[in-house]
Amino acid sequence: MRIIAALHETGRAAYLSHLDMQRTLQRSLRRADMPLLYSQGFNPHPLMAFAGALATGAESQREWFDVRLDGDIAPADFEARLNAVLPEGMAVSHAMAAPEDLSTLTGHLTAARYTLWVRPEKAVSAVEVGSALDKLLQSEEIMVQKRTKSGAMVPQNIRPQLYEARLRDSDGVSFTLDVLGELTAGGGLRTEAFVNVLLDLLGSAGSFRCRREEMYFDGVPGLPSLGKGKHE
Amino acid sequence: MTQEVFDRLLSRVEKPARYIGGEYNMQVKDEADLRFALCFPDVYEIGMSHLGSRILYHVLNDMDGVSCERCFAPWTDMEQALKEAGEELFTLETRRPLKSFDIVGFSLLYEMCYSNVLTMLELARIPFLSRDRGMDYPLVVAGGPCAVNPEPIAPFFDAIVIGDGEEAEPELVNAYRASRAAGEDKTRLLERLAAIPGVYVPGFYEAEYDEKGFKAIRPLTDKAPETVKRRVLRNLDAAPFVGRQLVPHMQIVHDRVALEVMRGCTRGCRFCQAGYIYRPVRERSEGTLLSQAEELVACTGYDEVSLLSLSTGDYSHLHDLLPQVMDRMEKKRVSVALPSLRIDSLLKEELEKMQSVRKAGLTFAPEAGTQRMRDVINKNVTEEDLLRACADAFASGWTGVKLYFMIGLPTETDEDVLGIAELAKKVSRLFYAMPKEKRGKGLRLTVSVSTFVPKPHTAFQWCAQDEPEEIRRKQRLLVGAMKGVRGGELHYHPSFLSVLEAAFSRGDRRLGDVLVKAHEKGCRFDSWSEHFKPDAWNEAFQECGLTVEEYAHRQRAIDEPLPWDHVDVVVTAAYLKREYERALAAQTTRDCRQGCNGCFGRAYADYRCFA
Repeated sequence: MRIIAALHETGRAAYLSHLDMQRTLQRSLRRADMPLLYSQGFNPHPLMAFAGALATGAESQREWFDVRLDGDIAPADFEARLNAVLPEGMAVSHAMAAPEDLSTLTGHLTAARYTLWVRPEKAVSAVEVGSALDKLLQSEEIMVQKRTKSGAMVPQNIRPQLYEARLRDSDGVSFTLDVLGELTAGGGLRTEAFVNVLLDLLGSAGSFRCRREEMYFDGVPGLPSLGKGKHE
Repeated sequence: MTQEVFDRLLSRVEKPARYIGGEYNMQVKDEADLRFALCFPDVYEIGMSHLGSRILYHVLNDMDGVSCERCFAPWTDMEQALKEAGEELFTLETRRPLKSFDIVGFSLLYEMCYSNVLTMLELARIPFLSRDRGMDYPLVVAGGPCAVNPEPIAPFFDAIVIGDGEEAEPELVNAYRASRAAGEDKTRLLERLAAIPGVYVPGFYEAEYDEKGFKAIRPLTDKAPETVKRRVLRNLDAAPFVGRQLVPHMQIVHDRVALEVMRGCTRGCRFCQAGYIYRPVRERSEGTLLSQAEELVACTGYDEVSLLSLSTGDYSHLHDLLPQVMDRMEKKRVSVALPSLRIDSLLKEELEKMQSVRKAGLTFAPEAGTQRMRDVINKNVTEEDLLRACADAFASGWTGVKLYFMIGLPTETDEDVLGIAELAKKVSRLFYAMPKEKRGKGLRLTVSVSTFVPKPHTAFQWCAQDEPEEIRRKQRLLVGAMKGVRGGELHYHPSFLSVLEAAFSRGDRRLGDVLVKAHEKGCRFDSWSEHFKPDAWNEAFQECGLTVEEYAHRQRAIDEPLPWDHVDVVVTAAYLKREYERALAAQTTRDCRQGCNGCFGRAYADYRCFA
């Protein structure tokens, strides 16, 4: 059978790279003695895949993944056995049997919601943050520099990938944003680029922390969806 | 350290996973009366691969009331981040500063990490010199193979464990506790430590020098022995192992379950320090190894087990163990690696079996290119052995072969150097002479040539190392000779690093000053080419009125006092001399498994190999 579940990555686990996370989940599945199925070839690896890659340093409440098993297991047992052997900062939830016809989760991925905690170096008021956000959302394009694989910097318009951005909280020292952005197999909203543009508008340098709150899919029953036609 | 500070530090480094801890099987003890910081003077990926540190982590955490936490050398980006933030070096488990620990212990695996010890002490704000540290600082100790010549690093450590640590480290910890309970001063504490077999307290000894260099070293107090005897764990089979092995998140150098099948080696290669300083050979039973393999695989989730030792092909019960361990591991989709198989013990059937699980490259270490040279170093492998092993490997479909050699060996001639290329040529011809349908496509024959470093407590401890110009000439000779070798690729290294290694491996106490100077000039991570600063090292030697040449390139007289004479590693000096003379005459010495060669001497008459 094939199981879909969500992995939570908080605290220390945020600092793992995508590859580290894959390795760690694979080893955890083996510790849980799951009846894994393997790929063919010289270096067989468990048939397991995350829907998306999470930036190193970011936390996540929901990193959806799927894994193929040789035999059936109750989703609740899957969760319990895996949770017993996951390292600190990781937990699994929302396990369910995958639909028969699912090819990959990545292929259905559309968007993700984030919480961003931003700490500018100079004090900014809630009003200033709010108007900067409005300005970004009203503009036709938001240009940033993107590093290509070859290392060159190219301009990129991130406005089409930014769906929603809302100020949730501000205490004058730092502020918290709710952001919804595109996330697909080909890429999506880079939260770092977005925060840097915002900080530029506010005229301050600063740092931020990021937590992915949810991932959205199109046409996978049981998985969160933004609904048809939205943000297209 | 607050979470915010920690996050800020990590945001500035390339590989944050090096510093986060939290790996599966990590041990955290909130309540402990003794805190031990186990330090490794290189990066996480390397330190975490060290079996000895894993064993000690388990042994120490297994003690009631003792908490053992890990700390690795921070990479230069983290070093800078720590300094700019005004933060101290911390452990992975609880992020406590090193300075707050009772004992700080370093594993010393190779000489070129010494500069990192100083970097770590500096970042921990712990004074370098033992004599500058009172009881308000942690006790700073060391262990590991480098301890067999502790002199170059002697001034920095309060105590150094020479030999196996499984028993000595807990004894050291308990001596520290007893001393603290009695409210003793540091001198009294060190006296207790000096009384533990295998523990060397450098501050209790004084070295003398004359115009020729090192003259003698002797104890200043009757509380310290004339010679420190290497600690030997007598029963390996019953000894504690790694317990629940840590499972790193990031990829480390040896990222697998490591099973130590035996300690020591019977081959007697004359250049090999490990071959001398881990005697007698001690083996684990098949039963113990099988159950350890299963336990470790179950509690780690690793998909690879490596049967580790200096020469796994020589393990007495290999033929019984291998099919059983492979059979049990295959069921769990775990592959079995044999990292140090001797050419003459290689078995075709086992090769084929291993290949069914995973296909890795094959590595052979003939060490020298001609039979005469191999006889001198007592590497009892013939050209025929190597070619037969390669033929078997090629017939089984392997196409990647790595050959390891050394140049600059005692008595070496140009013919010996060129012999390396000759041997590579024969291996290459063997491959291409096979029918195309019976072999793989293209040969990848890597010939890796390192520079010989004479080591203390070996038959070559008196030998001069070749000077860098001579090494470069020999390397050029090889580059030319390797040109016609189809599929061959020659790897060699600039030689000044081996010169420094030679100086420090046979150095005396005066090199401590050189280390401090080199540290001040920014030397760290010397074995990482991007950080190696040869000029700074040369200046450091000069400013101390010493030369690296004197230490590395001078032939010692056979009766000359040596800075490590006060360390008794069990093998006698008389045996080493005999081996040296046989080497000069190109006479081989039999493998100890064919009959005892009598290397221990009378003091260790009850020591037996294999038991």
